[in-house]
Amino acid sequence: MTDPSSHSEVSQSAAATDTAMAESLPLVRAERTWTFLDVLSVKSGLAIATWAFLFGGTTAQFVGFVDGLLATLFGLTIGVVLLLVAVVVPSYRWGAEFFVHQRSVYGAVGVMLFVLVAVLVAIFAWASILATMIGRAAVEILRTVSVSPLPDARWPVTAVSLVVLVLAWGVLVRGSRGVRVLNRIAAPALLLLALWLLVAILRRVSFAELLAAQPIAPVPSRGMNIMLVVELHIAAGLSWYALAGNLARYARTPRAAVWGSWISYVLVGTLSEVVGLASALTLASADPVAWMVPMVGPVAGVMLLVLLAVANLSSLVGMVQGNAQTLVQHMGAGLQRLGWRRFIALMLTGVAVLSVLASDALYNHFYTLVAYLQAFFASAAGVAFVDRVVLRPAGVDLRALYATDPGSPYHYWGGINPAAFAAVAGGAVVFLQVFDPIAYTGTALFEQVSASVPAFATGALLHVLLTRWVVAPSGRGGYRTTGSATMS
Amino acid sequence: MHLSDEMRHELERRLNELEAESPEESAARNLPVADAWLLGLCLQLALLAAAILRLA
Repeated sequence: MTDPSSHSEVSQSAAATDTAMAESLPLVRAERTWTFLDVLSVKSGLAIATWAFLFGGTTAQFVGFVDGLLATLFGLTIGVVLLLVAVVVPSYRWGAEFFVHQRSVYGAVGVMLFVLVAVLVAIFAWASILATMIGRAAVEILRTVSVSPLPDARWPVTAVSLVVLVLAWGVLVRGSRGVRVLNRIAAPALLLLALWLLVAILRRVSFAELLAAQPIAPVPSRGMNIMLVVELHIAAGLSWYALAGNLARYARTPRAAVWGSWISYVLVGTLSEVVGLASALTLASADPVAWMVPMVGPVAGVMLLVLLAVANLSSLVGMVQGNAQTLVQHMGAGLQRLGWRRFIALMLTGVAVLSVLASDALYNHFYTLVAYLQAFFASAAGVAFVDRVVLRPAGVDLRALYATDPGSPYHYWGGINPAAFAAVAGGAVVFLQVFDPIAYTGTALFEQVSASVPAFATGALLHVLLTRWVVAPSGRGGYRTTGSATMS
Repeated sequence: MHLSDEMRHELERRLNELEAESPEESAARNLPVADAWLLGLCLQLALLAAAILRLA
C-alpha cells in the first residue's frame, strides 16, 4: 500500500523543515506506514511497563484474583473504547495532531490550557516517573552483580535515569521510524517478560492459593471494591489521551489504528496488570524489581530486570514521541526553529530536571495525579466525542484548524470557546463530587456507575446543549457550515 | 499561528496534497461502520459485565 518512492518524496520535501518535526503537521498518505503489527508493537510497548504492574498491585488492595482480573478487563475496555471513539478515530481520520484538531472545540487559545495541563504537567511527570522506574530496575541489577553493597541507592537511580534519557534521545531523534523499529524488536520480548513473570509466580504458589488469596486492604462493600478497580482502569485507559491519537495517525488503515490500540491497551495491558495483581496478592509486592531476583535466581533475574528496563524505555520513548508533537504544534515557532534533535534534547532535559528534583514526590503521588487528571480527561473525552459525532458529523475544516485569525470559524470569542470549557468543568465537578481522589473512596452513586462514566456523560450533554443553544446560533464554531468544508 | 515560516510552507504543501485527494481516498480513512458497531458492542458488554460483577 505504501509507495516507497512517494515516501522518499515526502522526506525530501520536508527536509527543509525536519522530517520528524514535520510529522506534527497533518500526515499525508505516504507517511501512514505503520501496519497493524507496528501499531500493536508500539502500543504494547507503551502498555507493558512497571506502572502496569503497580496498577495490578493497587487492584490487589481491594479485590482478589478473579474479581481483579474481570474488573481490570471491563474497566480497561470501557476506558479504551471511550478513548478510541473520542480521540483515536478523529486523530486518524484527519491526520492532525490531536490538540490541533481540538481547536475546533475549544478555540486556538483555549486549547492551550489543555496543552498546559495534559502535556506540560502530565507528560513530564509520567516520563520522569518512568525514568525513575528504569533507574530502580537498573540499580537492582547492579546490586545483584556487584560484589560490594551499594551505598545510598537514590543517586544511582537518578544517574541511571539520566543515562536512560540519553538512550531515549538516541531513539527519538529518528522520529516515528525509531519508535517503530525499537518496538518491533522490544514488544515480543516484553510479552515474554510478562508471561515469564506470571509463570515464575505460579511456580512459587499454586493456582489454588492464588485464587484463595485475600485482598490486602479492602473496604467493607464488595461492590465498592470492584467499582474502585473498574474506575482505576477506566482512568488507565483514558489517560493515554492525545498520545494515543497522535501515534495512531501513522497507521495505514483505520482498522489497524483502532484494533491495534484496543488489543494493546486492553488485552496486553490486562496481561501485565495480572502479573502485578498476582504478585501483590501472593508475594506482598507488585513491583517485580522487589521480588524478581530472589525468586528466579541471579542470572534469570538480571535478564528479567534488563527486559523490565527495556519495557520502561519503550514506554518512555512512545510517550515522548506522541506528546512531543503536541508541544511542537502549540509552543510557538521558536521551538520549531530548534529542529527535532535539539527540541527532543530540551524536552528530555526538562524530564531529567524533574527526575532529579521531584521524582520521589511524583512517584508517591502517582495515583492521586492519575485521578485528578481523570476528572478532566473523562469529561473532555465526552465533549470531544459529541462534538465529532453529534454536532459535527461532516467533520472539521482542516485548513481552518491552522487559520486561527479572527475570521476563522474556530476563533469563537477571542480564541476561546467558553461553552466547551463549561461542559468540561461540569463533567469534572460531577467526577469530583462522586469520587474523592485523595481518600480514594466514592459515594453511593460512584458505587453504581463509577465517576468517569457520569463525567463523560455530563461533559457530552452540556456541550451539546450549550452548543445548540448558544454557540451555533451565534454563527461561531463552524457548526452550520462544516459540511461544505474541505475533506468532508 | 504558532508556526515558523518553514513549518508554514510545509503545512501548505500538505494541505494542498490532502485537498487533492479523491473522495474515495479521503473516505478510506473513516472507520468502517461495522467496526464502529463492534466498538459500541464492546463498550456495552463491558458496562453490563461490570454491573453484573458488582452485584454477583
